[in-house]
Amino acid sequence: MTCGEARAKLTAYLDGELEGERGSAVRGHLRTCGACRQAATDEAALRDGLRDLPPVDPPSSLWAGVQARLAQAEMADAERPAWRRALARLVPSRFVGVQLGFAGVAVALAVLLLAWRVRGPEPARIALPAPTPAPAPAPIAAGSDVTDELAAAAASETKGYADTAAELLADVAHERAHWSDDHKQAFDARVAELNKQIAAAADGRPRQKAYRALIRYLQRAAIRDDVALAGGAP
Amino acid sequence: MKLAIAIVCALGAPALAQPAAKDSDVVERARVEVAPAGHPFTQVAIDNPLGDVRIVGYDGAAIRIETHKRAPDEDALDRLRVSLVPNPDGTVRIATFADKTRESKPVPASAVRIDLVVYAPRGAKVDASVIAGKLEMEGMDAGGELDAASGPISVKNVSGEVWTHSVSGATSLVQVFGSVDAATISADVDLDTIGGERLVASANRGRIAGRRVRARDIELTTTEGKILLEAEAALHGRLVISSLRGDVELRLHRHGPIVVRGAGTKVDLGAAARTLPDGWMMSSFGVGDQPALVELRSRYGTVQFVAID
Repeated sequence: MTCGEARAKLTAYLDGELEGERGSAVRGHLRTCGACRQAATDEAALRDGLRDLPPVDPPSSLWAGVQARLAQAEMADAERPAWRRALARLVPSRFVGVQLGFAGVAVALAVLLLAWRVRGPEPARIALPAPTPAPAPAPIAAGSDVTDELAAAAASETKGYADTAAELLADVAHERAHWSDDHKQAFDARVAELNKQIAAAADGRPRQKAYRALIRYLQRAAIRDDVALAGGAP
Repeated sequence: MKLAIAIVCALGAPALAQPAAKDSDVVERARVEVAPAGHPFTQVAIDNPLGDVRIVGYDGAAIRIETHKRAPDEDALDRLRVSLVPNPDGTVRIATFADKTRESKPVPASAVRIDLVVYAPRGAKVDASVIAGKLEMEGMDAGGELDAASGPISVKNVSGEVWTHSVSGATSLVQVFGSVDAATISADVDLDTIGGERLVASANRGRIAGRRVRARDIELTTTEGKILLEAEAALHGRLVISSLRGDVELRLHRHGPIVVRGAGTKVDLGAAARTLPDGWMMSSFGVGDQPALVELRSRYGTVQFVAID
């Protein structure tokens, strides 16, 4: 079996879909080929990482927007003559085509993202200090008041900073594979210190300011090893 | 002791029709002027989560505030407040809020608005924040700190130290003379005619573009976005321009010797560049002691440097 054949079957192999000889052939190739073995390890690690991701709650405004669009579509349907509704059932409209196009692009992007993630040398399992999670903004009920919405907006701003810190931490994790142990320790100590400052900061602008310090440090650390190595102030 | 004067701006003519507002909206405009009581105003702190803020420096000593409120009805308009608290230490605090009582009829944030224009003495330092509104500062001499969630930030013709931060509002700084620190999460940063000791700018998912920039210490960083800078090298200066995934391009007007180091997926530092043992590319321009140091880096993007004599 060649590397190309093995790579083509890697996903199915990791999914446990290759039985009997087919699975055995891939397994045999991985025993002898270091590059393919590394690719299999990377993909397995990525899957583990994706599985560990917390579920994401969409903002309440998203659902409201979806409902509004559905309502608009239903009203448009109701206004169309019966013969056009019947035709639409038989022939996909151009909007369906556009939607399929968007879905195709989304799938392509997801595949590209997966490919990009797998391409780089993904570090083995590492334990990074997690940034302090920001409190989730309270959902805004229908008919809510400006005061509730402003409070939710402030919480959402803080969450925006927290999410960015989490994304950057993932970027740093990718680069971290090349760091020395001293380097990692200095980085961990600094991140722990900045996390402590976030936890100690009052809600609102003080906490956002503390998040900004963490974000700037992580951003520099992801790009410039010397910053993380020094463990100095961002 | 605080001179806690809460001035609810109801001095203007109520219910003025505005062309920009919905026909059914109720609009109120007001103007308030606060003169300093002995001590000049040294700082203006403004927090307006309900709309835009524009701060304009002028040569007077008083602070003038123009408010423009909009609401769907009189009851909602009555809930919109502007508080003004001058302190004896020279600080003036201006804040907007929507009053809430048990009897208040719920009104969505999108239906109400307060926009503020503040004319402040040029020498006062500014500390201002908005959520989704525009935040503008111009003609001030003591710098300030501006904070927005999703609203754009604009700073023009300002001296002193300036800090700006925004989650998703585009940030523009034009003719700023003093140290600058501008940060966004997912928005662009535009810099035009910046001069000072230090310039730090960062964007996570946005680009940074700068022209006519001159500072002794420049540090620009992005995670995703491109960095494009046209700058002037200060003698013995230091420029560090880094991106994780964005391309980096620097056009540098030089007046003395400079040493450039670059690392990226593709690096162009000019014809005289050579590769160092650590994999970096390096190029030198001019001869002399203590050259300006330039470091360009993009982990997954390209790096380009052009020296302009």
